[in-house]
Amino acid sequence: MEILRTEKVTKRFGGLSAVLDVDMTLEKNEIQSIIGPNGAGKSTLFRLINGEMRPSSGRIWFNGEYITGMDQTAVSLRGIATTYQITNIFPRLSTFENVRLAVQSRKTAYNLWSKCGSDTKVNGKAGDILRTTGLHRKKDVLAGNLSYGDKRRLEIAIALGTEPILLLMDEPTSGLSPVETNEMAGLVRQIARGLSVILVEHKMKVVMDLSDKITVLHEGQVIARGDPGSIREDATVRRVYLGGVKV
Amino acid sequence: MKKNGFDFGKIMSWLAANPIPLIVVVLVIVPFISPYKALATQMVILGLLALGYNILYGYTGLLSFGHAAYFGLGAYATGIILIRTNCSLLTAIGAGVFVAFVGACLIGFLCLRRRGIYFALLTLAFAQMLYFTANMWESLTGGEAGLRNIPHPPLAIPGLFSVDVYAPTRFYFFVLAFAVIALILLNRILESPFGRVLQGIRENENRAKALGYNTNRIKWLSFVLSGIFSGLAGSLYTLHIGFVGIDELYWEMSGKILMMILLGGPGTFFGPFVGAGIFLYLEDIISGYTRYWMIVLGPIFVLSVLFFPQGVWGTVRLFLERLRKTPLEEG
Amino acid sequence: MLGIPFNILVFQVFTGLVLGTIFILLAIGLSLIFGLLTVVNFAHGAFYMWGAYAALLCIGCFGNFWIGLIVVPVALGIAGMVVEYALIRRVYGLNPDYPLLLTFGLSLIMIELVRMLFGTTGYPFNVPALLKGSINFFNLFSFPAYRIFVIAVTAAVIASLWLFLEKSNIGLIIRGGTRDSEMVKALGIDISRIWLLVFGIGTGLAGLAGILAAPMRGVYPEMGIAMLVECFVVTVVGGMGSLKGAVVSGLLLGQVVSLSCLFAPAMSNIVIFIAMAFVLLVRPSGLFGVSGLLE
Repeated sequence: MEILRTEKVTKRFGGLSAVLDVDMTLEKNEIQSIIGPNGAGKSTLFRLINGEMRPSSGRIWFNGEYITGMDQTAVSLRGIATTYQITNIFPRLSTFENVRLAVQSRKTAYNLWSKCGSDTKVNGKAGDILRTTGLHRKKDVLAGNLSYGDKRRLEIAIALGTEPILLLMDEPTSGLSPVETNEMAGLVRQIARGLSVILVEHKMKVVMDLSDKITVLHEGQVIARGDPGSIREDATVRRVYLGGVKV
Repeated sequence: MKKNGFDFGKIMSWLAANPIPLIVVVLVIVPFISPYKALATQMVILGLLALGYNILYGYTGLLSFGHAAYFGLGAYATGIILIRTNCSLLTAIGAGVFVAFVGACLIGFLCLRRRGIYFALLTLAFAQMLYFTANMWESLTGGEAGLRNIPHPPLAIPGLFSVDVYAPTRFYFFVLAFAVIALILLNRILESPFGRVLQGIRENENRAKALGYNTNRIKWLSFVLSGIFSGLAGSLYTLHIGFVGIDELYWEMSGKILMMILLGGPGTFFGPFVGAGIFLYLEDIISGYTRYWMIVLGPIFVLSVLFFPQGVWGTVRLFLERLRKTPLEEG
Repeated sequence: MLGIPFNILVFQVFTGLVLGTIFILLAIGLSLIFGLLTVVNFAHGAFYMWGAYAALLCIGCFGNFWIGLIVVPVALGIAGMVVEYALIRRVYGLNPDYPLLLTFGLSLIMIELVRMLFGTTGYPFNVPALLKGSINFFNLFSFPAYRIFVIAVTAAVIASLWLFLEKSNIGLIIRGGTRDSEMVKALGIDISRIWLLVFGIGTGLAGLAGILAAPMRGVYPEMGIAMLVECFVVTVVGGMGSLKGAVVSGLLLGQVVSLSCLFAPAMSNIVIFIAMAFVLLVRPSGLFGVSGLLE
């Protein structure tokens, strides 16, 4: 079942097309990776899907609904969450609070009266997510004081708090050591059960291991699409991106 | 850590989690140790003003340079309605709060069209606009001379009781009653889910938006709440001084509020109160020596921005935190 | 036309032009400082006021307005550099509120110093003898010579500034726009000198505006405050960081204020805020808005 579709999505900045006529589809529970050299338009595509930017032209459907041009808030409420390449957390709030805020976003923001401690459902869910992402023991630490690896986990935990249907992950292993990268890949595989994921990554091993499907972007356009095996063999991709080296 | 049978650590923890009773006790004692009662009353009123402002600045992270506007609106509305009608005390205060509320709704909406520095400048511009308007509209506001001879109705429910609240000590406790109610309300609001979202916006507005929060509307609500408390402070101020002038709307007033917050500690619940107390006390002492007290207070402010941005109360909390070795609850 | 004699209308437009030039001088300084240092100089109005008082001192010491015209902007420029070096520099890269708070505190100190040293009531300031009187145009319009002088000076300053920014290497760097430019470091230029220079130019311009404004508005400690707020409005309308925006909206708002004196004098003090509210509702990022900077 198709969960996301983009049709000829284009984003222009002045004379430059960051993204040009991109068609892509995502099946439910699929992990699809988008790869491409720097400046290929991957992050821009994310921003178009999650509502941070409006496309210059083209259309986007999500979960059967036409979402082109909807703003970030509306898109988030429909079940698309993003994790960012540059860690985007709430530094002076505790780790627990970072996730709790995310979970609470699915309820009302305008509750001026209850004590936060009393909502067992919200707190419980936040606790569960912290356990899943391995941050439970650090829940009282201020988010800004976490180690870099833990911050990357928190980045994911926050996104999970919003009960997303689709998770857009922008380089989750960015800046991580090889050991941490493996752990992160394992985490992504774990949370991807029951979710659909679009992943932007540079580390080819992660991409090849995790993805059901891979889309390759170059200068804003799709130049190849397929399962990891066929992408590995694709001559165009190898020339443009992998530099002719067999991975 | 036990000392002479007292579990010092436990007491500190409880106080940190439930600070209001202690503060109330302190505030009850203050008028009796302060040089004169009116100063204590001013501390509470301006503390209330600073507290209101802190919702916007300390919790939501929105720097406003024009909060004198809501203080002034509250002050003028109360003064005008007392002079022109024969209304009761509580009605007059209610009118002040209401006018400040409306002002905050309108001005907040316009200012929040922009973010960051622009927002700050816009708040200043609108406050100046109100200042000029009050200056010109002499028939309503008394212009530069202000409103004098404001009547002092008793606190009364017709048929039930009537109390004259204007003797210095009585007035202090009258004002304190409002302050305590405000403190409890504010504490509730800032500890609620809404209060946490405010802090989320302060820490990372873009992420809060990405999580699905309508940050503009929430900021506006924060602005309006802040205006309500500031307006209440303005009302009480008119009753305290018996006079309303355009100085209350002037940007220097907004500056004073900022300085109080910064001296006290912006991100904390009681910082503003502490800051108001310190500020007024310093002003009182220094004015005894020179009329140019800003020459002393100005550099103190600059130095605290540079070296102590967490303010006095913030520093105290950090110290207590280190003693406890874990983060304190909000306080 | 409109029930008002034509020559009065023209005169009012002219007055608006003069007011606009003061706005422009101040707004350009604010924009330059903001554009390169991402600092909003809340003390800009205080530097303007200090310029006027410095002019008073010059007249007192040298008996000559013309010397003041050179000395004052230079002195204020140097004062600005001292402030940048000692204070502002410490808060770069932190929360953008800090420079604002810092310069705000500074402005309070600067105003209080003046009150202490010169008293709170202020002084009148005479138009220099050479520029007294009016100049006649085609026997139709007659404008005060001093105000024509102000317009001429401002035009000359804007032209020189434009040349400097367009044609010189340093100008190129400043126009490049960011405080920590990799390019600059790669060229081996000490960027901290450029910060000094830009801040100094900004405050120097403010000082120049002060001395030019003094004969028209008098000299008093609070003169910077209302002017500062109005200049903030100019930059909000024109777009902070945009020099073109500063010039266009300065001229525009000068006219708005001046003409309102003619048509709706009771509102003349607040009409500039109404214009701002209007722009906010209709086009929030300003006329030439470079939105996204510090938002």
